[in-house]
Amino acid sequence: MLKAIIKRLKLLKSDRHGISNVLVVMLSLILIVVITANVVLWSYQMNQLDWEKTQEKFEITNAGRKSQFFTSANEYFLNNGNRVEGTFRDTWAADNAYETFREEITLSPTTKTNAFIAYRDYALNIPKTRTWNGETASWGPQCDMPNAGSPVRFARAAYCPLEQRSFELIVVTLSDDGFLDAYVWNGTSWIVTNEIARVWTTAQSGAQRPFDIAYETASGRALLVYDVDVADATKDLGYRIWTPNEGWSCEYYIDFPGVASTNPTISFVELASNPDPASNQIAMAFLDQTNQDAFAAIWNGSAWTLTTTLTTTTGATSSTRESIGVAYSTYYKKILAVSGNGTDSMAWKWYVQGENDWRTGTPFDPDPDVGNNVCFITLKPDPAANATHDYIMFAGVNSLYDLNAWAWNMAEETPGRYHIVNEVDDGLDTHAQRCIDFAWEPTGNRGLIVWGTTTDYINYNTYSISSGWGPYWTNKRIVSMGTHPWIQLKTNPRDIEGDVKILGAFISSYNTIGSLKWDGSTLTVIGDYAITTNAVGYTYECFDVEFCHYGNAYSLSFIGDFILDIDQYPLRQIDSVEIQVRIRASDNFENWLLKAYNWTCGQYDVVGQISATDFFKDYTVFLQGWQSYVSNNGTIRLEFCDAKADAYQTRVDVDFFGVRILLKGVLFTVRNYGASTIHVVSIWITNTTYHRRYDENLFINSGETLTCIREDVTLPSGNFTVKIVTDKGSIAVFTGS
Amino acid sequence: MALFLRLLVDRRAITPVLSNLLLIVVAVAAMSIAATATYVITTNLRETMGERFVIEDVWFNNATGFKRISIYIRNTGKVSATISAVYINDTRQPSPTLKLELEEHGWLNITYDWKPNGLYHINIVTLRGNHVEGYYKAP
Repeated sequence: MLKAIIKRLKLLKSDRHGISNVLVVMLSLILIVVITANVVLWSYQMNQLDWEKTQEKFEITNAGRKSQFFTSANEYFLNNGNRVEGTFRDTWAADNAYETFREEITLSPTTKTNAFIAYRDYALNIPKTRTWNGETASWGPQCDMPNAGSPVRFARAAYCPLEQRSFELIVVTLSDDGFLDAYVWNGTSWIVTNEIARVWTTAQSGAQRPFDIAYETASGRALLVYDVDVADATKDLGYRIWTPNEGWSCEYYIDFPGVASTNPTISFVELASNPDPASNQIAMAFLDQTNQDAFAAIWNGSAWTLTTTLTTTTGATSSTRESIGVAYSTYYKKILAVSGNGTDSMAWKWYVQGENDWRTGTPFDPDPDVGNNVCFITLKPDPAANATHDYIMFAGVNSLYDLNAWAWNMAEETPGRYHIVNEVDDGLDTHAQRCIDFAWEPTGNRGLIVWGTTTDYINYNTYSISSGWGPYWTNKRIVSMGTHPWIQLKTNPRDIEGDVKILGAFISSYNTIGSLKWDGSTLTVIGDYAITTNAVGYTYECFDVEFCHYGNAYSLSFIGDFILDIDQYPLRQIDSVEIQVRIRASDNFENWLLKAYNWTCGQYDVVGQISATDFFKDYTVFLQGWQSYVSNNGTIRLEFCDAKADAYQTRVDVDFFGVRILLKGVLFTVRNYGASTIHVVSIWITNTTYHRRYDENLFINSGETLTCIREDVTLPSGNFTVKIVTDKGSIAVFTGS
Repeated sequence: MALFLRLLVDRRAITPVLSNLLLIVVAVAAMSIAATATYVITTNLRETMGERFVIEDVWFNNATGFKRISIYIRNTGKVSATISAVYINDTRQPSPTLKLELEEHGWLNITYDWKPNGLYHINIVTLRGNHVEGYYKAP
């Protein structure tokens, strides 16, 4: 090969045109190389440009006047209420993972008094409740209590007298099968003790109620006293003690002196608590149906003492009816115990605190009509009693259907009876039930008596210590549900302006349970069947109304701190602050408030009101004058609370709670998730009628998210599109509104 | 002197010089033409290859009372670009010539009776024959 090349060179050397050919070829090759190199290099550069463009990967994560949301950095602080489930992290996003709060009882000295009714309706085994909302003067929705296992006949309720446990409520029901079921409301749920005792194995045919429940005023323990169906002469009565945190005690028995036979039928038990806040005394009267005897005793906080026999001759009629009564006078705390004492007679005793025994009053004929027997009575002490007028009102119906009423003045050495009425109405609806009741107003030594005497009506009259009974015994209110075998009135224990003074309930011969209220001048029938349309019979007093002793109300309030990123969003660029919550509440009628802490004034200001529903809904509130609500480090302190404490315990599910900034200009947040740095050169704001371009000069490194605020950019109202263009022509798009 | 006199009397003496000069001139001219042609060819190629532009925005505009399609174009290439023709739905539309220097951008307004919700294929063609096209839906 080398020889061939040498030979070719020799030929070239000898060829006269050899050099010229070489030059031409070389020049041509140079030109070709130059052209090719130029094209290839240029092509390489442009390909690199295109490749870099394809490598640009970025997105607009936010565009608008609003920053991202700032959520609570820590768990919410609870002022009132309880956290049921979830954590504050569940309120960071609207994702149906939520934190649940529940209203709890709080004391409110100005809140009107709530009340409660336990009753039965057509689902006989399941006792029902409603709560009286003092603020709205209305009954709340019906709620079920745990199953009693047998048709409920009677319900008795008592509120705890202690302020710290003012929410606690005990309901005891008696069912057809003779079992007592005890329910304790602990502020959250009913603690039920089914079949806590049995008072009979064969049900009574009448309205016998051989049990009662009462609290010790000082300790807050409760006593449940009842007949026991035990053939043991030493076990005339049984009782259990409710102690908080311990529950119900074992069953104790009372071997009551004077009870004549083994396992007699006790037809009624009546308890009354000493109103003295330092006393645990409870007075008791009970009626021995078998032997037609009535007895009384006093619980001194640890034992039954001062047992006494009221009468041994109640008579057959009185022995099956609630012809006994026991009550403490408000001022002197004297105990009055009364009983039917056979035909045309009433026995009574009273006890003066500190003495060793009861004093015995002279029996008297409560009605001038011959042949009367005491049937159903009530004793109601005047809550506004004083040293000279320490009254206990008696009201009842006798076997002649006569209305009997008078007031004992316990301030007297031997209590005298005043304002006796027994001939004002001799045709009451029934004497097999208590179709009459009396209640005092909280103040003023005045009261109201209500009774059933005419079909489709209830009658009422007023009373005052100073002037006696009102002149009109024929005052009526239409209650178009037949007769009214059971009427119950309860005194509001608190005197709040505008609050009802007396609240009542009645059952009609149409089996409805209605309600009424007295405001001091007007008796209003809240509804003929405000409680239930069907209590299935009216033989038994299957309802009990009780006022709460305090201005209790359910309330919720929690506070969260929301810290704005003022490095990213300088205060000078903040135009406003938006608060957004996404909640639902179990009570559609409750209003809620959003409050913001005013760092300038040092107080919370109401910044928004919310009417929540039982489905999740977003609520937005804008902070007016936001500067006062943002601290120097960017903290906004918000309180979510109910507008007013009320009678219903509401659950609130908070799905989202956050604040965000509304800027003076427009904020753009761009995330570069590509491998190369991008150079943003323009921003477009467009909608169907508005296309505006803004120059930009923004470099965003790979992996960086950059936020920029453009005060000169304005957004059109409604939907808009934001486009960001890089120098290489890549475009990212964001749609907002 | 003798050589010069001999050259004068030699009747073929001048011919080689002239021929050589002529050859040099011809060679230089040929190379110049070739070099120029190379430059022109490579420049055109480079410009065609280096032309890039993007449509930043298309606005179906009715703001002024008559309908037009406004197209915002940005020159992202390495040479200036001149928009010479606009095709909408494959039909050339009368449009002003828009020359964009490097990194320049601007509106190109085409009067066109667009219909709401209509879908339009817009093809922007440069003087060098490059084009950018796409579908755009009127609001």
